Amino acid sequence: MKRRHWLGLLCALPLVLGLARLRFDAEIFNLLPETLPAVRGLQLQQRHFAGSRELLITVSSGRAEFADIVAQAIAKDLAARPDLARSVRWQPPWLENPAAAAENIAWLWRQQPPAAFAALAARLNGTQLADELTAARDLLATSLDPQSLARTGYDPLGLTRLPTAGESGPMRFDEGEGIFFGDEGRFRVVFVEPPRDGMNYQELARWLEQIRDEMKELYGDTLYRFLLTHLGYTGGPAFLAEIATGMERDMRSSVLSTLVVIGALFWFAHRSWRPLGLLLLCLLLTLSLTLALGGLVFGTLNVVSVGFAAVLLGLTVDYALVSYQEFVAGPHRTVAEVRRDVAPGIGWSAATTAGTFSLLGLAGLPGLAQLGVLTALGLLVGAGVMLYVFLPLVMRRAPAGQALPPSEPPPCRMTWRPAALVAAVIAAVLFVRGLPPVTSSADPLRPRQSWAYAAMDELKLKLGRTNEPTWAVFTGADVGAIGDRLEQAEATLAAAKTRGELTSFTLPTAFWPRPQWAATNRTTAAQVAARSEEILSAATAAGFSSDSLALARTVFAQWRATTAGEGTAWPTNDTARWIVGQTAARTADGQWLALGLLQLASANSRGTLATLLPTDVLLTSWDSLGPALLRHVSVRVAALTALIGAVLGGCLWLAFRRWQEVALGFVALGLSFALLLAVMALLGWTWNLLSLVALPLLLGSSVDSTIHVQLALRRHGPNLRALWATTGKALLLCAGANIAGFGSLAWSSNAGLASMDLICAVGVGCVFTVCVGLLPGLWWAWAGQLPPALVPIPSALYRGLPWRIAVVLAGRLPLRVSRTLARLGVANYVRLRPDRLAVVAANLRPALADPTTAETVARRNFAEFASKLVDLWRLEAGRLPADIVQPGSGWDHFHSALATKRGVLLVTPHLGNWELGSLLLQRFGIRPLVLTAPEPADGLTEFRSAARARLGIDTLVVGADPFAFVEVIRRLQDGGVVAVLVDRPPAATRTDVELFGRNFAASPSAAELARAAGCVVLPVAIVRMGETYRAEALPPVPYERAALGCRERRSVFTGAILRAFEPLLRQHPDQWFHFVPLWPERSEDAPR
Amino acid sequence: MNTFRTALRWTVLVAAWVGFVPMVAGQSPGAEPVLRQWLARQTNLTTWTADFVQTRNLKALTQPLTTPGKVWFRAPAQFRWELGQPAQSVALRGEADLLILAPKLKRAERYPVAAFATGPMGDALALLDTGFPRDATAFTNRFAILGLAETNATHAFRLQPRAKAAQKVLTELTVFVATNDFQLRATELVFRDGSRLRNDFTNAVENAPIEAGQFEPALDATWKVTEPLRGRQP
Repeated sequence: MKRRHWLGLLCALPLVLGLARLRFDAEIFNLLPETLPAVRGLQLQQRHFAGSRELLITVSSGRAEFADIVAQAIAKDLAARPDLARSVRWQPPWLENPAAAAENIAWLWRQQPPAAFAALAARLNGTQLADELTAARDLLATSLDPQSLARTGYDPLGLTRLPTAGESGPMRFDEGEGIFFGDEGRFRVVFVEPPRDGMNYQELARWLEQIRDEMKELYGDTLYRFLLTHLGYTGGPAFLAEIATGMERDMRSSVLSTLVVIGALFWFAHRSWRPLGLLLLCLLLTLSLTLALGGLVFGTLNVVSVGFAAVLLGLTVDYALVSYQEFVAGPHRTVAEVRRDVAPGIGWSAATTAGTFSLLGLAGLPGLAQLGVLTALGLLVGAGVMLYVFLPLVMRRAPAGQALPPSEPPPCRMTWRPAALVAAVIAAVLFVRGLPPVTSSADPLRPRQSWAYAAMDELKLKLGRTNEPTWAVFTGADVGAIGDRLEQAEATLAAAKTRGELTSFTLPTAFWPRPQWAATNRTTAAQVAARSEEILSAATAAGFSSDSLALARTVFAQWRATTAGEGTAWPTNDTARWIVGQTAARTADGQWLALGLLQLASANSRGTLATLLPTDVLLTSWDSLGPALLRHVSVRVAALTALIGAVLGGCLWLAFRRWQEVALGFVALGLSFALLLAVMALLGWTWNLLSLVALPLLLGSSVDSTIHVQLALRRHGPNLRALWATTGKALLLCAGANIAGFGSLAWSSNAGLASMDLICAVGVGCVFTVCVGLLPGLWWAWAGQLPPALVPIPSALYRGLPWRIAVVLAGRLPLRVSRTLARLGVANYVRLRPDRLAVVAANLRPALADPTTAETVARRNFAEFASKLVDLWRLEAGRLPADIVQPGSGWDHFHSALATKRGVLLVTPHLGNWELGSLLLQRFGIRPLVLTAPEPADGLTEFRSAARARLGIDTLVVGADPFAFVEVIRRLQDGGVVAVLVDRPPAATRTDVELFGRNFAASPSAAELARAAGCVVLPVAIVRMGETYRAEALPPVPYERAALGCRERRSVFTGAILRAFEPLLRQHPDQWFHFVPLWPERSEDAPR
Repeated sequence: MNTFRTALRWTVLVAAWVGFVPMVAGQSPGAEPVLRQWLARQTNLTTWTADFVQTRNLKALTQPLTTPGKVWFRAPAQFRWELGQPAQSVALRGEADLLILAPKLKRAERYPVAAFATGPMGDALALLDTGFPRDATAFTNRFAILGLAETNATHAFRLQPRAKAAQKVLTELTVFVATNDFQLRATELVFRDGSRLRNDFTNAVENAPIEAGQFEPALDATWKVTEPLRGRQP
């Protein structure tokens, strides 16, 4: 008890730690592979640039003046609420603070090449200054361009005419206005910065609600309608909040709806509340334990990978259904017995499916890899929970009389024609409609009905920016490195524009610091500033007012005030901060980033440009994300599917050992997939990024159906109705649960998840339809006739090397470990070789009081055999204690026989652990001679003979040497002890006797030895009783030596010997070990 | 906070109403008959040429700038403005394009007529064609009549652009026409910053033939022609 508590505590500690570590991550980019440049670039752009962090409130009105008024009012209201917004902009910052423009211009000039700054200084000197001023007056007098008039009016000295920074154009503040309004002023955008950084999706969702409430409280719906205005909300925070909360809502509702559907299915099948309640509790326990393990392994789980929950519930409920069905079939058995029967199948199924899901780690998407590992963990945990928690609890109060009587419905045979017809229909549909196409867009990643996306679409339309922009993200260790890359990129992109690959591009080159130039220009700037009064006086004399010289005055003052070291950082005024926030950033690890905007002429240009630009410039866009991911996933999906196919092929071969059934397994899967394609084609569905991953999911989770159905077909043969009534019903429930698990996410708010789960749900339905509805006909047509001698030979595992290895291991490992491993191995063997199980059941059936329990007893037989083998190996390794064999009753017969000096022939069937008799005989001081047939492998015969010799047993291999029996007769006549097995004769020397009222082939060797030596024939058996063995000696079998000269009399004597063991065989049928067919074939005994 | 919000709400309402009223009204009752007379007369014009003196009172300058020039107009919408002698700026409106020429620099900018509907080009057009309305309905849709004054034997129509975008640049335009024959005497534009631009017309000739080439640019290979609006999103 105490030890169990400590063990439980030890197991619980990691789970508690896992739950404590558990965190949820809603960052969508963490789902995607960071190694892809498109993903990395978008990640940097979304995370570090202000534009991606701001909420955009769109104001759309029928009148420009109303839009203007509302936008301004929103900005004023939010600006007065620092708890709601750190900053708010409804118009370009330079309009709000024109004075800041002068500071920025002064700074920009210092970042220009020294030659350009020197040219400016020359332009503001002497006659050139006079010419400049005259030209300005002429322009003011004659220009017909209002913008030129306005600019020259406040900048007669041309200080705003910065040198062109490449093709992207000089720094023009008015070009940024287009992002604040559109549609002739009827559409406005208000940029709202969240009150603090690092808000998670739940905080952003709450913040968004507060903003909406604030807007509603500001004007109310009525006033908005009066003003013909409606508001929209979009931008990074809106997308994140909407997508993440949508997914969280989907996960929650899918788990609940899956539980409801599973409960309904279970109730429909079994009409019992208590097991239903226990089932649901165990499913929740499975979920909780898996989450804890997920927390322990990963720490942070992405909300998408938490979608495993619904899938897991649908799959693990199969284990509960199988366990419960087994319990209902035999309610008076113990928990251990039921578990022993179902554990191999559940374990094998869990291992196969878990292995398939874990292979999702190769899909190339981190989010799906996590989902795969979580599901794999969950399946293993679920198998354990159902076997060791659900089963004991549900069997605790087993109701009486619930066993289902065996039924013999009339046979119904199905042909291959329905399958052929379905295949023809599928081919016709696919020929007409074509295969479902694969879409490469990134739409699967976005919600299906999204107010944020709707607002963004309206924004793009109204601002005339319908083309998706391409971002160029520059990375570098320092500001100077970025500056150099920008310069290089200017030339590259200008050439690309000339070639027609680009429509336009904008880089922050003009507003990027040039520390070296700034340092050089400081002297020139100081010189110009020193002459500022002279310059301004000249301008005044030329007729310019002091208003028109305000900008110049401020610029000169900035240059005058500049000290050494300044110029490397950007100005700190509002306008500069806004511009810098849109175009420059620094990561937490000190890397510098710059953001450029490109309008590509076509999607093909991206690839060309990516090769021309340096590798540390990432070209990315939402448009390119989809194709990049698709390429990344497609290659892996093909390899992944091939790998899973290979694994499944191996599993099917181990299960069936017949190539016809393996091939039928693949035919069924292929037909199921084709049916799915036909349904998709008819409904107009397409494959996308996420739904492609449904392929391996369907492959792995559906292979069980083909195994179950074909094994059931072996059992029931042409009896299709029996198949439907047993396996079909169980598969229907399992399929229904799986469809519930997948289908619960088909209404997900995320388009990609919904499509993936819908396809999985329909796929499971297709698999069920094909495997239960069509596969039987195909199986009967092609694989229905089993080979006559399916299992005539001993197991391939009974060979020299495996035996030697087993002896070594059994000699070194603790007993409990050896037994556990042996039992697991045997259980898996039974799972893999159901035909062998059938043989054993047929062998034991005549000895059983209730023949219907033959399969159950056969399973126990295998388990006992595992224990027997371990003890035998330990015996041969010299590690078995001598007192493990205790003499039972009847050994006085042995001693009396010894005293007659006639020789004692110990006869035994393959019951219990007859080899252990050597330990007892050793204690009696007897060195027996054992007659044995050659082992299946030559080396094994010698190995075992040597092992017996070490135990004080002489071995005589009977068969090749015709004079071997001379030695035996001599030993007996000398009063020795010889042991022989009597129930598995060579075919050439068998004699038919009656055993259990049936014809049985026995060995006549005992009768012949008795005739030849006149020895005492003593039946003995060594059977396991708990942890020890009991050696039973039966009374000698009497005979008339002279009568044994007749063959018939020898046969009768042999029959008497065998029948002497009937009571022991009936008492211990699970220790009578024969793995090849014993009885001649009768119709009711034919292997199933 | 509630007080602030309430104040803001009322501000919005008042601002909306104040902005709304002029659009609904926008017509000075007394000016209507005179305006209709002038507009009716304009429809009889096929050509119109005149000399003018343009006076610009700009906030950027302490003294006004005056520049002589000449203007040609041919119905329905072709015009040629030459500013300066010799011409330093020329504005030509043809069938499909508006050309702004800088003869001294041999540079020309071409703008498609469709661009005039919105944005800065609409503002530029107001400087050039206010005096030549062809359609009464279009004129009243474009301008609100703030008032009519009569001084020195001229009617002075005070106008305001209805478009809010135009109002950001031009707050008011005044058209001066003779009271006896409704000939255009002058136009005056008032900008938001208080600057003014006035054209005083003399030697006007109506319906005289004008050479076709007058409205076509004579651009040879030495001219650099640009199209500033190409590639820009509207």
